[in-house]
Amino acid sequence: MSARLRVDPIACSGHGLCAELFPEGVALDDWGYPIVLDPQVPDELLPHARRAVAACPALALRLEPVRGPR
Amino acid sequence: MGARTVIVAVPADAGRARASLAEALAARPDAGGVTVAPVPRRYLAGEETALVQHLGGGPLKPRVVPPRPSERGLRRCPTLVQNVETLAHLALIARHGAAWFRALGASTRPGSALITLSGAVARPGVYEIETGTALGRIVDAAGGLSEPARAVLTGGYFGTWAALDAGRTAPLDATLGCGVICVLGESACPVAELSRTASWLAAESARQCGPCLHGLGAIAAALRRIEAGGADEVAAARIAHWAGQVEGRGACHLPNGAVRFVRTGLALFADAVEDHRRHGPCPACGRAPVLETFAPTAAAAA
Repeated sequence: MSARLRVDPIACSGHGLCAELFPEGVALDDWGYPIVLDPQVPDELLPHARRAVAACPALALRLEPVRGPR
Repeated sequence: MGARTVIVAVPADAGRARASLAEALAARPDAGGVTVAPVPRRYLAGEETALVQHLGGGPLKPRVVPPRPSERGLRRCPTLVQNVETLAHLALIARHGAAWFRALGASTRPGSALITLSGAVARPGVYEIETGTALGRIVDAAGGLSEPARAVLTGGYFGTWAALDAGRTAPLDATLGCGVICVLGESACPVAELSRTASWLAAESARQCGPCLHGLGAIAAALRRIEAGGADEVAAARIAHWAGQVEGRGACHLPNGAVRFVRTGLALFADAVEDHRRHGPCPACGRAPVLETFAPTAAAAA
């Protein structure tokens, strides 16, 4: 199953844990807010992405299942 | 459509518009479900999720979509947010038919459009044009230029700067945006206009999304430093870098619109920008603004 990584920009308060835990998929901008490098997370990186999602103190990082063929 | 509730949002300080709306509603026997809601004259009052939240008694701030207001909006009911211009078009199409509407304007985007023309034209104002009309014809309809023109901004403060010559004969519809067109005359300072409007846009932020709050603020501050002559030689490049970081990262379109305005302006006025950076304000910097910016409310400035 493939998944899509999204940041809720309103909920996000720039703690930056996501970039610590999932640097393959998330970088930080000049103010410490996450930039999702590629929303499509490859299967082998999913555990890291899930860890980042679970660690977000603002519950702003989400992994959404991709439905249907894309 | 079967809507039971219709709310017309009008800027609270638009006294004449509100009076004429009240008069029109009083004249209709079927206006029972229609109310007029005075809203602040701010960017956010025109952002659909912020407006819906505000009308429901909440803050005037965007929320993340989905769900869109059309799925779940005011009091959790599906809510259609439309410009009055669109509704006026729909009413005319319902009355006269699609063929009548399509007879006017460009085939890909038929009909007419209301544009607000300001700046260096003899008769600024609101004009109804056929879609696909070239800027030159609109300017002619407004009595021509009032002074030699330096540039034109198409699409308002979320719009695109271009040299007037380039835009004069090209059809406008793709870039029309909110329909505001401003011609910048030679007597105006483009750097002061860019800087002032970027500061206003930054102040219009709902201050919810980090990249918008910090990014637009940083871009506006850098532009003010350039205008004042206190910026280093990479200031413009730094703004471009921040613009790239801000774009596409808000809940609403404010960062994207502001970035388009700043980017195209910096590109077109690169020489004037460099001139200010080196030498500080020019004689035209102190002139009355061409691009109007309403004073931000105390809440927005805080």
